[in-house]
Amino acid sequence: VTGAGNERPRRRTQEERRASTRAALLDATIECLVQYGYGGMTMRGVVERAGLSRGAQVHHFATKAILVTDAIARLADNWSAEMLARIEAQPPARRSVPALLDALWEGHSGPLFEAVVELWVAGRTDPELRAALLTTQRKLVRTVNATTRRYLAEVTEADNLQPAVETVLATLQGLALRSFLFGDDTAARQRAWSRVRGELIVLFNRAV
Amino acid sequence: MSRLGGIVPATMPIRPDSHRADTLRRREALLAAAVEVVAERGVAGATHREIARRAGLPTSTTSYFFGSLDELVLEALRLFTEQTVAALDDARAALAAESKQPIELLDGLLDLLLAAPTQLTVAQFEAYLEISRRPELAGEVKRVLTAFERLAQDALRAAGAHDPAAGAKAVVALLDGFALHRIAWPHRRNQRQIIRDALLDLVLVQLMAPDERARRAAALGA
Repeated sequence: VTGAGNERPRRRTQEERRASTRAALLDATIECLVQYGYGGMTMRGVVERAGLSRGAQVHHFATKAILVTDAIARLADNWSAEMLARIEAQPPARRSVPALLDALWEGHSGPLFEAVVELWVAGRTDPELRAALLTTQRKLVRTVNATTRRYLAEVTEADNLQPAVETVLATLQGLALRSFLFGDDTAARQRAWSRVRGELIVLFNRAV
Repeated sequence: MSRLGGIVPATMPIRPDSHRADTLRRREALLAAAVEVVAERGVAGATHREIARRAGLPTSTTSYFFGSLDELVLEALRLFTEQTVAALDDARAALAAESKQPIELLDGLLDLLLAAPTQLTVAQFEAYLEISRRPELAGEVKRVLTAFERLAQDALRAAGAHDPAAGAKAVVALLDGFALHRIAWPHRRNQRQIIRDALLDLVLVQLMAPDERARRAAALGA
């Protein structure tokens, strides 16, 4: 979401129009990925969904791989920021490892994660896509790592949290995959999460 | 044209047996080829032509056996999940037959996961993803997950876990998460070691006494 429209109406600059066209294309890319999968999505479908002319896309992105790679990068940034914001919104006393885990789980509960899985699967035959995905995953591990350090009083520089963070993320993502089965049944999703959540909290404690 | 709709009329021997056996074989070849194509190119990349070519049959064969491409792909994913469930149940039976150390059981689980060719893992994930587009697949995927959980649950129980049912869910989730990463990152250095350490961590949590677990959880503000 850009800041356009916050103030009294005025003509948008060239720069602003460019940025909002770009954002619209990237958002439409993710939506198309979720709906049709990587193999089934087309540049044409993306442009139509974004409500743009075909020329707009060619101007911004030359190939499907570049479009998708940029969409993932934007997705990952928004995703991390959103998860962090969820914790920061809590009062300081509530900012803890369990709260971090809940925020991570929520972050994995929407259609965004389904798009991410589409990409992982598509990445097996597309080196460019694969490289973008690995960067994204490493970034997520780093973000979680840094945030965890902030909420664990007893952790020191010497403690290596990386393995625990990876275990937690893999488990969380595996559980999110399983949740595809639950569709819109949020109660079933929460039940599945509450059982695994306890294991992960103890696991984190052992790591420090 | 009569559609066989995926059901071979096995109880109606209107033709000589050898002919029927041959028909069955061709149908099975198409389904096996469809699983391969889905694993390689995804559901979106599966075509009549490619599946028939892979099976070494003329393109028209696919429409003789299956009413539509959708039906063929769905049937193939069903066959695939069925085979996976059978393999998992076999592993479970073998586990029950031999008395092994807990660590050997875990290594066995890990071997099972890592021995699966990436392509089969991909087919599994294609099935996960297809659920939102074809809800009728949900039941099949659930059967695979349940079979996997039964196996993990037996291993955890044998190891002395405090709550094998909950632990199995966590273990299966962990392995599925790593399997997802493995698709795009097949040649990660020390892959086996990394997954094994993670698995051990998760299992050790399972082996703790309840009061120890409570103490540790409380220390983190839970």
